[in-house]
Amino acid sequence: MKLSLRTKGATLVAASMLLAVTGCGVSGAGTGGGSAAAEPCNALAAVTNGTAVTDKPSGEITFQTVGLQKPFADFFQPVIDKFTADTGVKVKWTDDSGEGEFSTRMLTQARACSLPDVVNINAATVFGLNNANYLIDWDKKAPGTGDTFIPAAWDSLKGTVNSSHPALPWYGGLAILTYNKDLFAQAGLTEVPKTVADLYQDAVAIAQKSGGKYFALGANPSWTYQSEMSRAGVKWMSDDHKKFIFGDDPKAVAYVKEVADAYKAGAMPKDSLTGNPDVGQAFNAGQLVFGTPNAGFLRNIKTNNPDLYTKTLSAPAPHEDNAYEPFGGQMIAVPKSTKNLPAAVAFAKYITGPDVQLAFAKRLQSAAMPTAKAALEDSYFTNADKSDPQALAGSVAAEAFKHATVNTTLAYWTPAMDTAVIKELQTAIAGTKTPEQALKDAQDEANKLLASGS
Amino acid sequence: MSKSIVLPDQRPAKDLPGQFPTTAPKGDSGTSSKTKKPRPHSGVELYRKWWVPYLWTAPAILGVVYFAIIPFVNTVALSFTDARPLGGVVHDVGVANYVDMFHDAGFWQATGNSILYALVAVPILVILPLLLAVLVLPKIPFIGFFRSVYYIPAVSSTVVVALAWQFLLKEDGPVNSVLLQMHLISGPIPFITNSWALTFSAIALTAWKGLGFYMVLYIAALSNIEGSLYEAARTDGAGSFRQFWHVTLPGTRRMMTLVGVLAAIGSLRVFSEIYILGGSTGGIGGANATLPFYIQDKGLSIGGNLGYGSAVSVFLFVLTLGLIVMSQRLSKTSED
Repeated sequence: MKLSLRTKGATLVAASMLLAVTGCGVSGAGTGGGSAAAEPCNALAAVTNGTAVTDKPSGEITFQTVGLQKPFADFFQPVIDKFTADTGVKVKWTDDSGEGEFSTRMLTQARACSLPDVVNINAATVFGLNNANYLIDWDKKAPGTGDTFIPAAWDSLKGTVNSSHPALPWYGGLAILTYNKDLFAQAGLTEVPKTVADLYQDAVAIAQKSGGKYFALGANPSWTYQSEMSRAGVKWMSDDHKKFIFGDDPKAVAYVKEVADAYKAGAMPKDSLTGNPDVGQAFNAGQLVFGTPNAGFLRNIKTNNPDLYTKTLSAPAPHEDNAYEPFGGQMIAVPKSTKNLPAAVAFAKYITGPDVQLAFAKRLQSAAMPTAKAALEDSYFTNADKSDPQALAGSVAAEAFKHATVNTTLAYWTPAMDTAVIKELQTAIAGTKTPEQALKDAQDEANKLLASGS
Repeated sequence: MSKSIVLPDQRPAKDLPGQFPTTAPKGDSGTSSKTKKPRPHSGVELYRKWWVPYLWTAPAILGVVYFAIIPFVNTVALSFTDARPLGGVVHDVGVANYVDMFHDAGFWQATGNSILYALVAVPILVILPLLLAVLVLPKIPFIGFFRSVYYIPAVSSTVVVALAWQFLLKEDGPVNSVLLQMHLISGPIPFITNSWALTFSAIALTAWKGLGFYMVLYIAALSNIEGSLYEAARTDGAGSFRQFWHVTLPGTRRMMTLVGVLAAIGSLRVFSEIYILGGSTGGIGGANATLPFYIQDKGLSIGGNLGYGSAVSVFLFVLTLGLIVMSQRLSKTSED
């Protein structure tokens, strides 16, 4: 039988399509198969069984950090070398910049079963991976490890699905108040704000005094809303963790109204509502009274603007009585795809241990606070030289850590919820929705996502 | 009735090695052949085998199958499931994702933004580069320099360009400062915080960035227009505009269709411009989010709904296809 060229071509294309269909069905590379409880990545029995790791660490592992290799290679390489010298385990250290779609990259690595043996990730990624059963349970594999950490940090990492503790807390940074004392005085302010409401009242006062020459703070709520609403005493979830209730809380409504009023009064650059959530650059340029709310950015000010550094002071983050920021920070996890569990567990415990954490905090001059109890009790924090802006910020941050509360929503809060709430807050701050309506819509969306597992 | 004269160079050419055959090989014409030709091992005869072109294009075909067809088919399959980015149990949900999509206000907002973006950006990207190409076509001193300068945005990183535009368009940025100093405006224009202004700022950025690339395509098309046509037009007394209208436009019509299709695809896929100018939410409250933004938001984040994101992706594909078909129909109508 003779076939025309067109028929032959069409047959070839059809064959390609057929190949495409058969090669990648719903249960293939696209959607994956199996149940949520099934073990991913052909995990070793030693990883999935419920027994603790007892084998001596040996062999080789991979370790991935987030944005640490370039600036802190001089610190971490010797730390890793010491582990290798002590245990004989070779550690291959890689780094992810943390920029852009970090969670998506981690997710891709997880799906491809190519996550490093020990990985530095954020809370959203920890619980996303844990809910899909990708991480080892520390309570089973290394019981007692949690005793090393401050309870606020360890208890915040309590998983709701699969693993009871899917990660170890590493370093963190809770909010403090940093401010330019010259601009602060220029605005006629004499006392640092004690509550979140005071902060935004001061912001309005700054706007009235500055006439647009400088501003109080940035308007993008991405980095601040959870911390500020928590410090304003807002309750996020029902006690049974079945639904979010923050939108019904009058304290939340009052908070959003205060922020919107300050924005309307010109206390924040208009463009900053959707701009960079880190206001460090604007503070460095002398445009803001209040700076980035963590001790870390003072390192940059010290390097880039020594004059401003001497004018920068720190104080505890404004808060209502007994309302403190819940724990948040960087975590260390061991994926179930590891082929060297003893070495991975040993290294994860070593890198999050009090010695390394304290040394790292010192290297960063308190820009990152340790979560290990013993490290926080060190005299480096308790007897800090408070005449130095950075040391002062460090001691304030250490104090904030002592007050940190357990973050009971950490395991439920997803990037999709975060985005949904930020969008609604932006509309309220811009004045296109009332605070009540924006919070109601934010809560409804968060509950919808909670119900759908998103 | 005039006789058709066959000129020597219009006679059927003999097929040369390395060229696709223009004449059917003997014995492959569908008529029976009593004598079977010996099997060729090399030379011209080998190239006449029907499968040879496919052999040469096989690497490209495999690339398209692996990187385009498989993901596309997979996306269509995923759109009928409740798949999550991290796997787990996958259920067939039928057309539920599509039904949800059509009841989702966020989806319609993103669709409206994408269509508006394409409707405004495509005509700009079809017409402006053509005018620019006409401008830089004459062979005058330093014209190569100007062509290169106009092409620079096309090879610059979108992120870097968008960051520069973000700086330029800030309320206290250079654009507002200049306009204020010239007393053209009484207060700064909210290029970033006003939804409409942000959309048009992003479109302007897309157009500026695409200008150089499409200009190069038009230069190629303009170079193929016979100079005698312009001479004839001038002889008939046509001025610059009439020459452009009656010679340049018809001569570049096919390229305009291609540019229109490419610009439509690019406009419907716009992401970085909105992300950088309007922030990670896509403008205040996500008011400027386009369909790719929405797909990223709903389908690809940790805990996202990959099935739903896939359904929106399929819709975006159909929308893009629709625009391409429409532009080709329009082009065909104008040619007729």
